[in-house]
Amino acid sequence: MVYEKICEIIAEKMDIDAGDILMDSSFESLKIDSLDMVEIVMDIEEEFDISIEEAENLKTVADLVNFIDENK
Amino acid sequence: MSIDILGTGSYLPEKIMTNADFEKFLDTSDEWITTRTGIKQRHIADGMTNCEMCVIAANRALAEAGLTINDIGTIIVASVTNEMDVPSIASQVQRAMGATNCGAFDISAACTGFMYALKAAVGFVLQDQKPVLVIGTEVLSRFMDWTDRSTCILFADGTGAAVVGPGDSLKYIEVYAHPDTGHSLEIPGINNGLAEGVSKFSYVSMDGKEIYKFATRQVPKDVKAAMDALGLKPEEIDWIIPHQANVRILQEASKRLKIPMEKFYVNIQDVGNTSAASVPIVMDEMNKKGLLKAGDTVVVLAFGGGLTSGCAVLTWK
Repeated sequence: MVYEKICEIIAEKMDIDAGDILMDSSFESLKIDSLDMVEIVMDIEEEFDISIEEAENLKTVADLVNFIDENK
Repeated sequence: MSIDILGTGSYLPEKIMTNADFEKFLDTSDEWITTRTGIKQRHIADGMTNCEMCVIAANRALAEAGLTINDIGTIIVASVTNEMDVPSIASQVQRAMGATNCGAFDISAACTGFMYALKAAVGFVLQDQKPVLVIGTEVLSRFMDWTDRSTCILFADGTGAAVVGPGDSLKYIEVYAHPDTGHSLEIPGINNGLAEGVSKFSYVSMDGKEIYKFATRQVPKDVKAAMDALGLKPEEIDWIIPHQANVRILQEASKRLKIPMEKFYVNIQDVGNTSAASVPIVMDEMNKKGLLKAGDTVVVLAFGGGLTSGCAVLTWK
């Protein structure tokens, strides 16, 4: 569910198909640049009511899912 | 009872720095700058002063308004880059233009400066029933750390002016302040005789991410507040005159407001971020190109250091 929600957020932001976003997709491979990342992190923070301080250390979708699972 | 825009004018200094010029001395690239900001080139004053640029822009605005400087009741200049602390740029402009009949003062509100000046102008116009010369001007190149690739590629020089008089075009204007608790956007200044450790040079320092977050959230809020106040629907807005800080911020705002990007006038690719001059330069460009038609509903928006932001709505005449 966390994974699906993240895919939804990224798909909407990047205007891509959620089906193209895999657990081990790197943000770089999805053409997400630093400004896109700021937006995506903000949406995720609002969605899951958490705070993500060191977003630079998150490189893949799996990193994001794990972070949210650990901090929910 | 508010104001009409009687004339606009602008001036961009001749020297141009392209992204390729930055590649020569900075670890950056045209590709990076273009995709992150939308900027391809910017104008640099190269020794020209704010006052000199203001006089040119002011004369152009006065010409369109069919007025002379002595018809003006007040000169208001929005800027954070006056070469001197005293006299104000407005006073320097008064002196340079030989104006005999007016008051003059500067406003410091960073990138929202012109909008604050416009709102102040309403007061002066209504009190005095005389036209007011409102100018936004910056020479930010004097405050660039040319080794900081996160700032020196963004900021640029230029001037925009408007002559405003009694009227009713301005339907709404709100300007806001939001505390910069994170010290996200500063020009620290050079103060004589004080504490150790103070830099002899004053540069723009900016936390790009924090400012980006602020702007992408605040701009839609400000525009929604304007739309709610006036009962305006997104499709009823004909044009948006936005502060040119970063085209990505405007693209985000476009999505959130469901107002197509085509309605946002963008010239950042040519002029960069000229802070207080940004909005009046756009207004003049659009005006001179004949894009603004009588009856058009025009939204003006700005945001920046302070932190500040603002939104105005005009029915163009």
